Parts: sequence; C-alpha cells; structure tokens
Amino acid sequence: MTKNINASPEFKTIEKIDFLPVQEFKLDNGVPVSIIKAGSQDVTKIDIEFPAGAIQAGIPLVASTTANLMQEGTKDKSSQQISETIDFHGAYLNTQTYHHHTIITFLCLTSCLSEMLNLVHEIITKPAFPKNEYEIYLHKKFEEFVFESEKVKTMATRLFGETIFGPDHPYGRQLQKKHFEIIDIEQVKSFHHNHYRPEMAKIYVAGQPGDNLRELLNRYFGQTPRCIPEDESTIPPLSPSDEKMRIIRKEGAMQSAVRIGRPLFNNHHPDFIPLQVLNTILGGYFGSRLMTTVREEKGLTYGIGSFVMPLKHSGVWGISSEVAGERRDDAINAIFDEFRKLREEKVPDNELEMVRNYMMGELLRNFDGPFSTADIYRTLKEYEMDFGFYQNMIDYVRNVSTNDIREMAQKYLDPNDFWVVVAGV
Amino acid sequence: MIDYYKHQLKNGLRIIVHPDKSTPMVAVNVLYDVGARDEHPDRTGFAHLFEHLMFGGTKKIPSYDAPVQHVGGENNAWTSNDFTNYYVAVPAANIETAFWLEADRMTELDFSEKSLDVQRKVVIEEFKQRYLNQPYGDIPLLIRDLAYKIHPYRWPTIGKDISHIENATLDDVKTFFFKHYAPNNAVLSVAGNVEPDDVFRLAEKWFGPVPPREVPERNLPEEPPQTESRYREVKRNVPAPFIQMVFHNGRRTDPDFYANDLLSDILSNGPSARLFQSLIKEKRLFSDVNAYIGGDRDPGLFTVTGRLMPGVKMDTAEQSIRKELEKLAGEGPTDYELQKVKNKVISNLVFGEIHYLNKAVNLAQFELMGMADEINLEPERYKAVTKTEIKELAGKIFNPDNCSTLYYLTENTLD
Repeated sequence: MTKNINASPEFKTIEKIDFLPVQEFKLDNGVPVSIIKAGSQDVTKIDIEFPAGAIQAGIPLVASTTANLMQEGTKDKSSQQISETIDFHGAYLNTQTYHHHTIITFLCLTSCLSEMLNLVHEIITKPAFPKNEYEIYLHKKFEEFVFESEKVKTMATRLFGETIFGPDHPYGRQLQKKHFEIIDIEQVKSFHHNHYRPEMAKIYVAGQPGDNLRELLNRYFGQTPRCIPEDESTIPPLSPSDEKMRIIRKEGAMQSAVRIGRPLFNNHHPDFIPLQVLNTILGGYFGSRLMTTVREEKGLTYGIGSFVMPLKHSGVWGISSEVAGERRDDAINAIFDEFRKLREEKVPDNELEMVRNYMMGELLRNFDGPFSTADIYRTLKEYEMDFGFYQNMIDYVRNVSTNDIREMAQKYLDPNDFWVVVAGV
Repeated sequence: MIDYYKHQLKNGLRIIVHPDKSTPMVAVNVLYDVGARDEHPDRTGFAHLFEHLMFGGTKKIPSYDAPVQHVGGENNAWTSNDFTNYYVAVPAANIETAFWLEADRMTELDFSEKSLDVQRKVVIEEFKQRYLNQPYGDIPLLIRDLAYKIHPYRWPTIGKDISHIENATLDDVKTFFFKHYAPNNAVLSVAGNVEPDDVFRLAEKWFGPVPPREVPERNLPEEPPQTESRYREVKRNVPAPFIQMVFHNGRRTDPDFYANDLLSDILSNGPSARLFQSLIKEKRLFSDVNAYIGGDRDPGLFTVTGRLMPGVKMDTAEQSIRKELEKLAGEGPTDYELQKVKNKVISNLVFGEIHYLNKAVNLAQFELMGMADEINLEPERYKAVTKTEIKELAGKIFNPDNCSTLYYLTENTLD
C-alpha cells in the first residue's frame, strides 16, 4: 500500500479558548485595577483610562490636544526632560483619545516600572501646558491634518462618518481646519482640570509587573478620594444624510477610496454576535467573499475588507477599499452583488466550516498573551461585559447554521439600508 | 535570549526551531534568498509579483489560503530588496498543514495565465495605492534611482515602472521560480509551542522529497563609491515640501552595523532625539523628521528625511539638517546620549522577544545570513559601541560627496 503523500494532513478543530485569569482589586480610594499577569519577559504594559474623550470635550481637538500636551511639560520638568526620562528607560508612552475616554498607555521593562509610574503620575497631576509647546504641537498637528487630508482614504473616511451619523452628531463630527483656529489653551487647561484626576482612573495592567505593584499603584493613584465623574452629555439621535451616494472628486486621483456602510448597534444587541460571522464571510478575512470577487477574481483592488465596530450608543458596519478609479462602479456593483448572493443563497457548508475554523483560530490568536488579552478585556469593561461575551461568541460560532446566516443577511444586508461614499474619481 | 535548534536536510534546506511554550500557536516561516536585487533591470518588481503568485495554488492544492483558514490559521508574505518571506501561524496542533502547504508550493506552482493576469492587476493597484496615489508615495522610486547608479538597489521592490509588471509573461514567471525557489535557497524557521524533534521529523517528511535546484551564484555589480554630491528636484501636488538625504553606508553583516544603528537612534529615535528636539521643537523648521538605516545585505543607505513647516525655504531646511550631522561628526555623542540609545535598543530587543512570529522571522533572517549564532549576542554588540566609533562613523558617512538629496517641492515652494 502506498500512502498518499498529497492528501491533506489531519487537523484538529479548536474546541475552546483558555482565557488568561484576570485579578481585580480596588485601590484604597476605590480606583479599579485589573491585572493579567503572564508572559515570559519582564515587561509591563499599563493602560490608564480617564473619562476624557472627544464627547466629554464637546469641541473637536480639545480632548486629544489635552492628552498629548500633558507630557509636554509639568510644573517641575520641561518637555525635553520628560522625553529624556522616557527614552532613557527605553520605555514608550502614548495617549489615545476615543469618543468616550482617553487612554494613557506605557510599556516598559519591569525594572523601570517605579520610575515610569512616578513620571506618569506627575504628567497627569501637574502638567504646566506651556504656551510655546502648545503652539508647536498645534502647528505640527495642523500640518499632519493637511497632509492626511490629501489622501483619498482619509477623505472617504471623514465623509463616511458624517454621512451615516450626521455632521453635527458626536459620532459623525469631523475635525476641520476651522477647529485649529477656534481652540484655546484655556479650554485645554480646564478640560484637564475636570477630567484628569488620579481618582477618576481605571487601570489595566498586563505582563510581569512584579510583587510591589499594588503598593506602587496605591502610592500614585490611591491617595485622593474616589470621585465618580458626572454622567456625560446624552447622545442625540442619528441624522444620516438624505443622499445615499456621495462623491468627492480629487483631481488626478488614480484610485477611488470607497466606503459602504450603515449605522449599527453595539455588542449588547442579540444580533451582534451573529453579525460577526456574517461579516467574516462577507469581508472579514483573506478568503472572504469580497476579497475573492473584487481582488482575486476581478483584480480591481489591492485590498478590501468589512468591519463591525461597536460604539457605546451605536455601531458601524462598513466596507472599505481603494479601487481602480476608472472601474469604480464595477467594484461597487460587485460589492452589492455579494450582498444579494448572501441574501438569496445559503452559504455552502464547506465555506461555513472554513469560517468557523478561521474565527476560532482568530480568537485563539487574539487571546494569546497578556497584552492583547488586556486590550480585549479593557474594551469589554467599557461595555460592562467580561470574557463571557467571547464564550457566547464561541458557542455561537461552533453551532451556527447556514440558515441562521441567510436569515441575518436578509435582515441586515438590504442595500437600501446602506450609504455609499467615494473619494477620488 | 532565544534558544534554538538547527538541522539541515539533504536537499539543502536549513531548519531552525525555537520552542516557546507560552503560546498555543506556532509560526512556520519560509524565507527565500531572493529579492528585488535579483531582478533584471528591465523586469523589475518581479520578486514581489512572484510573491503574489505563490498564493495562486498548485497542481495538487488549488488554493493555498483555504486550507490555512480551514485549520484556524493566518498567513501572509512580504518582499524586500534582499528577501522574500512567507509565514503562516496556526494552532500548534495543526502545524503539519503548514508543512504540507509550504513544501507543496516549494515543489511547483500551477503556473496559470488566469492567476498571472489577476495578480498583475492586483499588483498594479498596489503600485497605485502605495506609491502613485499617495502624497510623497513616489519618493522611494526617485531616491534609489539617484543614490545608486549600477547596483540593483536602484529600484524599489514594487518595481521601477508599472509597465514591467504589465509585460510580465508566464515564461518569465516559470524561469524565476526554478531559478530562485528551491530548498537549497531557503530557510525554514519554526517558533511556538513545538518540540524540535517533531519539527525535524515533519520537515524530513514534507520537505525531504523536494528536489534541490541549481541556483545560480549571485553576481551583482558593486556600486562604485560616490564622489560627488547629487541633487534632484521634483514638483508635486503635495501639501508641504519634503527633503530626503541619503548617504551610502555598510551592510547588515558589517561590524559597524551596530554603530550605524545607534547613530540613527541618536538623531531620531524617540522624542528626546537630536533632530526632533533641535529642528522640530527648538527651530520649528519641520513638522516631521526621521533618520534610519536599511540594514541591507549589500551596502545600503543612511536616510534622513524632513517635512518642512510652511514658509521654510528648502535651503534653510537642508542646511539645518547638515549642521546637526556635522555637529555629531565633529563632537560625537555624549556619554549620557549613548547610554540612552543603548538602553532603548536593549529594551526593544526584549520587547521583540515577546511574540513567537517575530522570533520566527528574525531567526530565519539571521540563519539565512549565516549569523544565527549571533542572534543572542546582539545586546553585547550594541553595548560595546563607543563614542569614538560613532563620531568617526558620522565623519565618514556624513560627507557631502557621499550624499544624494531629493528636494520634493510643492507647486508653490519658496526656494
């Protein structure tokens, strides 16, 4: 008997995902801390979350400027002294401003943890907001803004947000040139004063932070009495555009950036998990319908994908690609044709099997190691959820049927519910 | 510290394994000793186009991606001037699927007109998306052409011109495959939750039958030393003028690589670095500055770039950069400064050892360059660099006759 060497080897399907354990405790003043202790290197990453997002600031640019400017000088240290300290310890510090919060993140060797916490505490509690640093920062930011605005993909992304949420909606509002003229350093100082206090923090630690972490965190974040910030302003109803297709022309463009999408709900909705599977089939992985048709069969793009993004009070389902300018309509038609097929025809069993296995593998990768697990955990907490959400997803993915998928497609892939935005030609 | 185990098959395939039990995954990485530098000057962009075709299926396995996704894996590839690298990350229990697929496409592809036709189009869209339809996107094309006169580093991996990709024929593709894709021209590295003996056994089973091929000896023209400063000026519809200066330096395998790397860090790694502090913060001449080295296998480039603030003249911008470079060449770094960049490199090496995929790619490159034994000596190599070495190196490299400068002007630049 000859063995068929060309037959595919046997493989195992992933039955379960082991989530790394999360230790939770509160500092003396009640500040919540979550720790995911794992990893083979003596490295620590800490995320400190403040209720200081773009929505709390109300005016565009204020929240991100505040977050970035805090590290440009304190009462005791110049901007240069701060960056020297960070670089000398081989550490990284950055801030990320979202709709509802800002996260200050640092990554360092655990041997430098104490010095880094001391520095970060100083940045949070005693920023000086020097006038010249403010000006340098804004100038630089403005130049970046102008530079980004030349890209068709940025143009499309901005118009897409305005289109599906409305230009005045907190989720749809886009940064504009005029905001650089309106912003005032006093707004930044006052935003800092009201939104960055150690007692308002939520802390997420990942890696191997060592034995004295609790003591260190208490020293810097546990001393002042806990204060729960006032509930943020309410989110108004969406006001999407009346035009279902919007085009911005850019002279000389060779490609068109295309965004197709709709507002959605967030991960508390019962259909959110089912839509993750439908989205994966549509455009969520390399073998997806959209990649297969628009790239691998028609050669109209270098890449195309679809994404589901939850928001605290809404969500987005979108498709994004840069396509050959002269064949833009072919690409858009091909995308909607995939909608039609998913509504009309059941997904073949072998395709569903592949997607099932791919999604399980993706979950296994996403939950591999303390850093990415901590990122997922922090996002879950934002929605007052825990790993149970992913357990539900695993259970669903393992049991979903081709009928379920078609049902979801019929419910959510109606072309009339989608907006099309094009930048380029 | 990365511990590793090595083995070589009879057909010449080199194998290197790093067990990492902290992950449930494994990365299987195949690095081929072929890159854009191996292309014919009239057929550039080929190594990269070929990388796309490697996903087009074989006579035995019609799709590469489907089986990977079917076992819960993910894969991708990249091409540089020196290498073409393919990786696949799968749950450790499914490692054999990765071996089956990689050995199969190393044996032979299903060279089809259809696949070539589609991938030509995809790569042309990639060319447009990354190089032509992007502000400043064509700089790599312009600067390489200025800095190199005869060495094939004079074109970027995407290619010199779209027409080279449009004109690629199936015969070209076949020739390229049998010339460069062979077990004796590749390194297989595996990192993740595995036992080295299992990996060696699987390698023998799947890669053992792949025939070795005659790989022509690489005989690239050596770039003659540059003896005059070179300038090129272009005007484009971009929001701000940009300057790029490149200086010839050494190879990745040269002993002064570490000093080169630290030299670029002193100039621009992190917000406290010289160019950032002096040219952005203090003098406010630029909105962005950068300095970096390529780490190429043939003598490469030390690059310094800057995006000008509005109203700044190109000449002022250029002189301000030169002044910083001359200062470093004249005075060298301070003790503190050198210590700072060493600390940063060393912590970056530690951060780099967190992820199994990163380790697999690094091991493959070190092994291919015949340096695997060096991988754990890197921290010591960096620590050993002295102030004098940096100063002398800066003096040698930052010589105006060794420099090619690109003025990338806007339609209304002041000059």
